[in-house]
Amino acid sequence: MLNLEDTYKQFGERVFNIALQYLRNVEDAEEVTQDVFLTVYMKQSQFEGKAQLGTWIHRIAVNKSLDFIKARNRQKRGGGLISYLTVTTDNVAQPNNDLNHPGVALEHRELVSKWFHRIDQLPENQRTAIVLVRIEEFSPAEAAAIMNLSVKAVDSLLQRAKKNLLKIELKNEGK
Amino acid sequence: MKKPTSIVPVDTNFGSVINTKSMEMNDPLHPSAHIGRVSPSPFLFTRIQAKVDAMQDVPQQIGWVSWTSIAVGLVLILFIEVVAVRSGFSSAKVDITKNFSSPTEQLY
Repeated sequence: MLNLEDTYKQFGERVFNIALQYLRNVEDAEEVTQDVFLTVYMKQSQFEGKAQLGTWIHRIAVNKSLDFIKARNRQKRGGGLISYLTVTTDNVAQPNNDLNHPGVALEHRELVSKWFHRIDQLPENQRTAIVLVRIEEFSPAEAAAIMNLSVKAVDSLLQRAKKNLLKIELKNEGK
Repeated sequence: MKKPTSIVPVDTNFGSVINTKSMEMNDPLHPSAHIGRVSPSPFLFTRIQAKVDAMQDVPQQIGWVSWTSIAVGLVLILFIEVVAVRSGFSSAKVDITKNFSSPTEQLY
């Protein structure tokens, strides 16, 4: 039986920060963190111990954050049946103009907000690779374990993300 | 003649300045500014624990509700059966002595 308090003490901050890098809003990140630990508590019997506990929890954090973005996008589109019937762009997060990220200094907020806006235009897996390796500073091996990919695949995702970001920058400059 | 042995390994990169900052600035994967680690609210775990406690109470409530509803359902079924059987006995006599009047009934 998992001791929830110990698990939270060990991984809570990291989970919260992963959610914050995706959602850039403290309240939303706390909601996702709460959801992650409830899932951990409910599904602890499903944890087979093949992966490390941290890897499993961080994977749940990534998935819950992405689900939260999808739900938020659906709400922004109006929700209901129409949003399900229309062509979805769920893997592309809608730009979040109200950056509520205490980890970003006020004077850098505009710069980082623009960078996040570019990141949001990347496919889900490339965005996750950047969040884990570049922002959360997981090693490529750790990120690969969380994403259930090989280290090579994560490197390749980062390379593709780099190319795509350059394209996006050029496109933005051309406007 | 004895060759001089180098005590310190030769650093081939000595003197070359690697400006990591400017490299990072040109790297589109880097946010160009430090994104610091943030601590969640100190009450977050209390909220999680409260939800877990609430979840633990729910199965017991569900158990109580389900047993009650099963019992009520059984009583209801028994009552319906009794009523049906009673009315069946009482209407059997009527069927036997019934005069078939319509052409459709006469076929049988």
